Amino acid sequence: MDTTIAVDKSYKKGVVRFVKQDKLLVYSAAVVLIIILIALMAPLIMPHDPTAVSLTEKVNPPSFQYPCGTDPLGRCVLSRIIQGTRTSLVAAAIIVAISGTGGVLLGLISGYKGGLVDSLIMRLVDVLLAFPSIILAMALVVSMGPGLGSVIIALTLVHWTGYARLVRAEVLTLKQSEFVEAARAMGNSSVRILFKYILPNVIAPVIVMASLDIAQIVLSMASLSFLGLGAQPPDAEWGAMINQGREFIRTAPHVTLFPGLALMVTILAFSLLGDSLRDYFDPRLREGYIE
Amino acid sequence: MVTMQASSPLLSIRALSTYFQVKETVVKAVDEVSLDIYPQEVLALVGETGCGKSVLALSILRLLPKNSQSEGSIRYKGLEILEASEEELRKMRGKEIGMIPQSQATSLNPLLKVGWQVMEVLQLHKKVGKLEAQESVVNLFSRLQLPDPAKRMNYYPHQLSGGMRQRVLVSMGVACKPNLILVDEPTKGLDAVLRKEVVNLLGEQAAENSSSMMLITHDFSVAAVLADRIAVMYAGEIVEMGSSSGILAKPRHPYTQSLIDSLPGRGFKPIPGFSPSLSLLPPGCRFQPRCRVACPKCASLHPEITETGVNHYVRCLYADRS
Amino acid sequence: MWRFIFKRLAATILVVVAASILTFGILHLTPGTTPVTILKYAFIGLEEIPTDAEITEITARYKLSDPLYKQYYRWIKQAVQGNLGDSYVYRVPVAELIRLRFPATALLAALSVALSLLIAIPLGILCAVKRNSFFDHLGRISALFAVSMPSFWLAYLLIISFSLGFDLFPVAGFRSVPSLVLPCVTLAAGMGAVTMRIMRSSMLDVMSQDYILTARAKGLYETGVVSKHALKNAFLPVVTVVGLQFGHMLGGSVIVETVFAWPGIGKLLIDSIFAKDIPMVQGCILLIAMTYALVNLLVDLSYALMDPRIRYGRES
Repeated sequence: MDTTIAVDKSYKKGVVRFVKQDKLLVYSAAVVLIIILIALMAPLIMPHDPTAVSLTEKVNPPSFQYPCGTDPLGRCVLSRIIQGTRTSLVAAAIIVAISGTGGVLLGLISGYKGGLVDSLIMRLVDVLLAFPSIILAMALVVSMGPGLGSVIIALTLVHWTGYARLVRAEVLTLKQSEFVEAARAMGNSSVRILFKYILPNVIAPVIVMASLDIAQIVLSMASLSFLGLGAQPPDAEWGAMINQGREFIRTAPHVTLFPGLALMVTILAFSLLGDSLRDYFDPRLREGYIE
Repeated sequence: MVTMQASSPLLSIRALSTYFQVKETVVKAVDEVSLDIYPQEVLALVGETGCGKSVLALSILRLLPKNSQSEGSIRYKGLEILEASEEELRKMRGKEIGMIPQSQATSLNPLLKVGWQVMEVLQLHKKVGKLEAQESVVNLFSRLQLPDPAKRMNYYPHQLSGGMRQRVLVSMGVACKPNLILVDEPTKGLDAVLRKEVVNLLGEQAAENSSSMMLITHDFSVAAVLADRIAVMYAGEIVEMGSSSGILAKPRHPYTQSLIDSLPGRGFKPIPGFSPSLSLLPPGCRFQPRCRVACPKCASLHPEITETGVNHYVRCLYADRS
Repeated sequence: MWRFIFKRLAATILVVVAASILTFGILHLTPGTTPVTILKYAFIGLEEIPTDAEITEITARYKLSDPLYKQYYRWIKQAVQGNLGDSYVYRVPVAELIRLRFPATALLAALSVALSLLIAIPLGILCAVKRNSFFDHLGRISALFAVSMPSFWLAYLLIISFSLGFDLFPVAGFRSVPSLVLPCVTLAAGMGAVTMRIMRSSMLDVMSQDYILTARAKGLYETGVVSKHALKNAFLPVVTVVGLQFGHMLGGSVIVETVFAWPGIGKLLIDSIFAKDIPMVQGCILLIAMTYALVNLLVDLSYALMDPRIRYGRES
């Protein structure tokens, strides 16, 4: 081997190097972006009205006119999948935004204040985690009555716990760190220390968690809708669509297959984005280091 | 501890380079190192963290991760280690060449009793029964002044203090009476009193088994106590090598001088700057950016290692001047 | 050790009690449990308008006018004695129905856990040992897909390909051994994938630890390094995750039992939810929470058995 082995050989600049080193991050981010774009432009790109019932065209196989076929009520499956993208992403965004913000705030307070407040919040978390999350969400949906709104509220009430635990743990370590000590010595108020010094340091893991959480929420939402507890007809939602195709799997599997595929791609994209973001943020994994 | 430079070396390293591939870059952690270890000799390898001294030790045992590659030659008793088969290496490890790893806190398996962990190496190489192995371990423990050795055998690592764990690691490394012991930072994470005890124990063990020892340390004072010869490493290269007394009395390389001056008893002067990253080495002499006596020529010319006295080697353009 | 067991046991009981309060609260603080809804769903029909007499009777029979804490106290007192009240719909004791339905779910869950571990553990170890090989990549990609696949969709894929395509396994019901195959595979897939990923990463993490280097420096065979020094350490995080996964599986069983018409607790729960059979829903959820808590307790205890750092404290 040549002794002048080029350290700089692979030192390509900017984007090219980034894309090469974090292939997975770039690709999954691209797919996520496409899914978001589909959700945003849903009304523009749908080939048909997703709620237009056509009794003459029930459970048609995929054709030129209906690329994914039609459902038991003669509605265009592709259009309903596109509409369903919007339903899922908007709901997931609302849930993550509210439960994420709430969880982060409670985690900050819990970790920073300690004492009774901390105990109370963490015991509440323990109790919520005593149920498998979908079972708890079911109980909440029962009490509020089935519907997309209930599912959003239920999943919000269930999902904040993860953020609270994560942020609390981070705060507990950061609290001891020198820069926070210094900030305190300089006479900063607690609120200022929390938001100016601690919060920016917990953002990265929270973003990773949010991305993984969206995958989880999309799945939970579809599961609840599949069971009939979520989106109600005629709303287009992937889980509900799969449910409607149940009786036709023998004769018309496309009614079940295509929404499931959309669901899987979405879950896959968000999980991969979360995973590769974690690798990206974790310097230990990024630069394999010696000694 | 007599230096027997006349006999043939036990371990002979020639132009050894060890590379690591990290993503798409290749880093050279050990750069063309040549050195010999003679029977019953203690050689200290001194340098700052990250200079490649631990990598050198692991290269000898061929225990580096898969993303590494070594070139050159390491000969042990006529066996070319870099070309040895996996089975030859396995038989050599622990039996011929023992290792006492650094960081006592993490080098013992937390789920296994310490006695068992030492017995394992005995049963592997000495073909002794369980009882016999047990007896040997109790003996080893008492020789290493572990209090209540029979009882300590059944302890788990977390139940022992740092000093005791270090002794367990030492007993593991010397259990099979190897001809060569590689000792990596034996005093890491120990307080001053324990440090002295461990250093003394190491000296005793090597003398008792008439083993050679390669002592890896960043601490010149440890090297001064134990070593017959000292090799100073900087950024992957050996920059000075010679007899312990010679180097301590008259260090020739500016880096060696700085290291000695940084000792608490010798001025306590810290070396300015940081050791360079192995992937971004300065041009010319690698120590030149931190050197007190560097001149423009040092930044353009990479000095070769040259013999400046009897068995004294220095890698500096001005080895004679300083 | 005994102190540890006692502490964990106490914590488990506390969590179950808190969970029962939460369940009771959620189900009773809502319009779902007014006398009118109960009447409409369980007694007179959705279209009927209940008379005042009927409302008074229902309120009296189920003591619905009592304050909530009194109702909870009455319920939990009976629950401790094994009486979970009567189902509104079936008019029989809830505990009775649960007892009838529980074995089916337990069988499904136990088999799925066994199946997933049997596949995931060796696969995870193999992927870690043969890191970055073709096998490793294949294993990781399969696991990724299995994790991302909604169980109900996977169930239909399996039905389409095995039951309808080849007519190998029954589509629904709980009649024979073959009828177990598809529900078990569906449930095991997701759990197995998660377990495999954890096993792999835990194994990789352990293999880079200092004590593995120590073991290699002793001159052990690589198989000895893996089996004697790495495996036990690598199992520790897996045990925790399997416990958590068991909870996911209890949730997942609701879906799988619905798809395959499996006569277990999950199916009972979802049917009772639609029938607004509150005592039934309450009983099922309490049972699920208790099972989950029990599994986590067992996980903690087995963790302590495996790890001396928990079993014995630091010597003082």
